[in-house]
Amino acid sequence: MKNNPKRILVLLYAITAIFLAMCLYLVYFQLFTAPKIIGNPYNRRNYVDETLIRRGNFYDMYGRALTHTIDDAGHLLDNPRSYAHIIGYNSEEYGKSGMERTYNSTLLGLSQDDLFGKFKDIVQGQVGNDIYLTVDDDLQLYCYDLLEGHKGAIVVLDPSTGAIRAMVSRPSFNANEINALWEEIIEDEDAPLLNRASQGLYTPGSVMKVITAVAIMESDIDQNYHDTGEQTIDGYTYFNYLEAVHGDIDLQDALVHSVNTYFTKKSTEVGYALLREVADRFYFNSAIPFELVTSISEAYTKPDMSENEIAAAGFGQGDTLVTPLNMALAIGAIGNDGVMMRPNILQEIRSPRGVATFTSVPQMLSRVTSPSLAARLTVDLVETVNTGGAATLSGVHVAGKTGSAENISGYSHAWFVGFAPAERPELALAIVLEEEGQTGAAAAAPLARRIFQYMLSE
Amino acid sequence: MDKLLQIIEKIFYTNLIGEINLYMVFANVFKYLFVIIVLYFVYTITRMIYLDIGQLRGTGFRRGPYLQLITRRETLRFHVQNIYPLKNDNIIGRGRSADVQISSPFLSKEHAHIFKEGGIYYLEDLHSANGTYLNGEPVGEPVILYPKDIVSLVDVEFIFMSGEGDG
Amino acid sequence: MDRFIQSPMKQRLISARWMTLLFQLLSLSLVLIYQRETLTPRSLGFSGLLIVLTLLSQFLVNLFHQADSYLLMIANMLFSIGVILIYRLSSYYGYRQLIFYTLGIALFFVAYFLLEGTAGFWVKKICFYFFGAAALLVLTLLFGFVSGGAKNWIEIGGFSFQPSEIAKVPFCFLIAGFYSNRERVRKRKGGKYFLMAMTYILIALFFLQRELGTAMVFMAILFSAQVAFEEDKKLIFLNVALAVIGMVAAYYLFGHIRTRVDIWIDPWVDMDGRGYQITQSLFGIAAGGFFGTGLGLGHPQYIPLAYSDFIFSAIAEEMGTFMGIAVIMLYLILVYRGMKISLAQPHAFYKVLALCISISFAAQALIMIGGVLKLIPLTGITLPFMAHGGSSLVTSFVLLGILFYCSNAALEVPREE
Repeated sequence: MKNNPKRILVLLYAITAIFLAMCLYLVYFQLFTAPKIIGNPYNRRNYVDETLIRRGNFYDMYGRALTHTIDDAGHLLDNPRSYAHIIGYNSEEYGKSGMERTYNSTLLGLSQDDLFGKFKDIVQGQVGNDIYLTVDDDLQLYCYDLLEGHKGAIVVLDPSTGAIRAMVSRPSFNANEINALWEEIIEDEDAPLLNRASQGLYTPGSVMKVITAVAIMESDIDQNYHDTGEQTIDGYTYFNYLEAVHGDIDLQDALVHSVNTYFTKKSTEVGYALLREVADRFYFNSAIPFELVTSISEAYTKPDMSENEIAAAGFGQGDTLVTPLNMALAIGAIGNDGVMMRPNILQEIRSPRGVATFTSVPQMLSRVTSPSLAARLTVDLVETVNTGGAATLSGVHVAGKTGSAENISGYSHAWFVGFAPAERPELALAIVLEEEGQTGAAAAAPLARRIFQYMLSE
Repeated sequence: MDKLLQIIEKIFYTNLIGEINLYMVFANVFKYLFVIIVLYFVYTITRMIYLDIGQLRGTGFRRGPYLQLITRRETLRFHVQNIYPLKNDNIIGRGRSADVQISSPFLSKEHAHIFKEGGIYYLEDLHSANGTYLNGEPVGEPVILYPKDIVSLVDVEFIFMSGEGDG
Repeated sequence: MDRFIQSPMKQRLISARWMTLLFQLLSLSLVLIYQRETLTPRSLGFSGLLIVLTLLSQFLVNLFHQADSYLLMIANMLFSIGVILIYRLSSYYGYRQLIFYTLGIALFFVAYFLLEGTAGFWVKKICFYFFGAAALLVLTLLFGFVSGGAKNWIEIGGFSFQPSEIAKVPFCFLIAGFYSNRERVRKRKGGKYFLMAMTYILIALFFLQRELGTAMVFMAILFSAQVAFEEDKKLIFLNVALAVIGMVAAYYLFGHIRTRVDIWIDPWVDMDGRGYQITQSLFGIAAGGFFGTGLGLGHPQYIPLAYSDFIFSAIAEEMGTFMGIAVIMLYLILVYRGMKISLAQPHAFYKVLALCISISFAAQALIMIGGVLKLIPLTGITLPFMAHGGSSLVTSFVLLGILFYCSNAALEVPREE
């Protein structure tokens, strides 16, 4: 055995160095990492303070209260089911969801990087900040009632700013009773906790034709087509709805009558590259920045798609999956001269004394197409609604598209996307009725009409 | 015990100012004390270790001459120390009154003698039954003891260390 | 016999000892009030026993003049910090920890005297240790029951103990025997690979029982012993290479290892499930600030297994980051002391033994603290002297006793290698 004290000393120095490094890391952690993680809603220590803090309340865009304080500390939702997915639940056992979670620190008035401040606050009795949403309470409740008896979602937004006016998902749950109902909610096969509006992924069906139309317009292919009621691509044959035959048609006709064969053929002519690029502009395949959790839509995801896959995707079938939020933004962009705005549901944060400490500013998210193409498409979409009839509204031009998406359940999803007034849209919306089994025209469009009527006619 | 519980609650857990109670005050004061105590403890020991190191570099903790055991202790049936510090005059033997007392049956009650005279250490055998050896040679009359000399008393062997430097 | 310790040093020795007592008194007064609902004669007995045992053990240890009394002093301070937090969390676990402590202190001295009395015997028996360690592990495979997801406990008559912890003792002896009997080993064919082979078999057994942390500790001990004592440098590189290959292979082979690595990289995605433990640990440490929330004022109870696997986090929460640093420093001086003993010990067997034990403490502390700080993946190791656990505590004290003996024999001149 080699008896060399130097080697032992080397070990000793190495170990000393590692130990000291750990001490340094502890200090670093306390100085830099700790403040960032303290406000995390999973940190139950914050809950203890909550009984001493008057949690801030939620208000709609007009300053109407959506929650009310109880016991000088927490609060309850006035409409726990309608707002269950936006405001969310706040439970000591099960954590928080929705805006309660995203803005937890704000609502508690917790200063994140100041532990001494926190202690001082506790001693003095802290009051949290209030949150003003962009949501219109009347509209939110109205939409929630509209969805009764259905599964699905409605998203209504202002396409010029991206402000969410209503966001509803059903089935919903009673957010005030989360503790008592947790087991039930978790085991419910219809997944009431899921915010279908921003996280639900659905086959879009014909509403996707709007995006395909943009690609067709931007490409230099011939937009005319002779429809024989069927189109065969690579051995697979596509049919129109009710096997209708339309003869010689152009793009507008194809949209108005929702001609599947047109879109299958033209998609393959446009080609994967442009289709994917246009889809990306509409924020498919990307995470949409938003205060609530979103899912990423999937369109033209595989570069090596076969002709048939492209064809199917072209009229919104195949592997395409979209969220209602994404579709609302997409259709809103068409109405907004081809500019998609960033969605936001937080309008303002106000301190307990009523001072606005944060006001959201509209931000552009993406330019989906040129203003002239958007205008042309708008005309087509107005014609579509007028011809369809289900979403027409007297005195207001509504632009939109219906969709009936076939999916594995066997019951098609009923879709409608649209905006109104067409000339200068105040509202854009997307409605999806999950596994409805009816067409979009029959089931979803009438709801859209009612929403537009509720909001736009005096 | 319940009564005691109540008393404690009353003293320590009633709110004095705002939400603060006496327990909180103590706990907050003590937390600084704890850190100070433990860090001081670490500091103290570190200093001791530091002082030790200087001496460890040498052969030991000792000042002054001593006998260091060479023989493997596990081979011996009786208890023997590693170190026997030496005074100016040391009797080595089995007897209770010996300065260096070793309970070996082979040793005489007064077996050997190490003494200092004129600044020099000497070793002599005290007419022991089994003899004393210095570096293998039998000892009778006092002989000079040099540092690192080996002193053998039948079955125990020592090395004589002067205790200065690496000696 | 005269006391040859210098006066100023002696004084420091005394004042250091009183620090532990002071700490105990102050902290006990707090936790007894905090745990006022369980304030019974038993809890007073708990306090008394803690104080008495600490003082008694340190007094006894000072009687051994050549030996290193600092070892036990450091261990006592570590233990005190730990047991106070454990008692604060649960008086039940506090009592148990104290009972283990009593056993530990007793075995500390037993180990010492056992070694002293049988000094020559241990040196030669290499195979004995290997089979001893292997037997313990095989026993757990056969009789084990699943506890905390790892099959590493054996239950005998109502008491559960962890053979993997206890296996550290024969393992250290194994290495000491190997390196101090070089010629005997070298004479046999392939002899020099013997130690590595044995170690890898042991580690494989650990992997089967999902005891990753202990496997790492054993590997650390082997590696350090090689660095310190192995003549054949090739073996060191071979060991490192095998270890790296082994770790990579383990990652791909074992799902539960991938899980741990995933959680380590990003626990925040699954804070409800797999990431729960480590994130709660980090919250606790963050909540403490530099001086802690104050004993009884924080929420270490939100940290899962705060009394055992995450005792360090609980301490960091209520007593602060500075206390965490103090604990790390305590381990550092313990290891430092142990390695100095190894340096000073001329007798080969005990030199190696001292080193192995020191490394075992160092490795456990580093791996454990690194884990709860999310510097490395969690491994389920316990912090020596602090975490609640009979086998861990007792084994640590036994190892400490052996180390203590190594320090006492520090000045023996070896007759043979």
